[in-house]
Amino acid sequence: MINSNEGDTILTLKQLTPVRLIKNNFYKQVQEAENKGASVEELKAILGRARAKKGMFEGQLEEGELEIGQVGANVRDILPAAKIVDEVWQGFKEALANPIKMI
Amino acid sequence: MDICFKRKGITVVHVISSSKVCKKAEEAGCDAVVAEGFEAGGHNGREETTTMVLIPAVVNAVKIPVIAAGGIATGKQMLAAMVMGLRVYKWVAALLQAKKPLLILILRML
Repeated sequence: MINSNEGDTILTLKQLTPVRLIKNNFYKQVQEAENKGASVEELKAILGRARAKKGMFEGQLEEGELEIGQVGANVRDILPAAKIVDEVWQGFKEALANPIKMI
Repeated sequence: MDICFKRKGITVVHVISSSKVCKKAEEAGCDAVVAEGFEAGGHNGREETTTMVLIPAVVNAVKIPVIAAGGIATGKQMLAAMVMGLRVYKWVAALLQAKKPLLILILRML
């Protein structure tokens, strides 16, 4: 995810339940099927069962479903949770103190 | 409508992506909602409403607390959400950087 860029996630599977995911092999299969006009049943067959679990808990980055938001493209570092919370909080306080920088 | 969890004293927070469903959640007795915009990862609304548009609409539509989600990963984005009338925040995207996924899950359930 830290190498992902703008446009690397997409809202797909709109015929089933819309889901935003990062574009990997699983997404390519879905996209090819949708381009050929796949039915809901065909898409369900591609999705299978526990696809998100495969991606997010079992680490199958290409065949699993990776539910990642657009803002993932802004993330560049892998940090401990405490540091992330601290940085968000510090950033919030700085922005609150000086919300608009006039140039 | 009746939410069985409420009878057991459990706090219920519903994830929604439109004002329409948000009102239904409030009428059903939910304690709060997570309003998740088009930018968010995972399951999303058919209306494709962005966080910037969804949040003010939802805040106007209901009286229960609204938790913003979708596109919020920094303090500046958090402040922007607060300016739109929010009371709580969901930091899922920022926490995706974390090395400990369990923490993400716990925080998602808050």
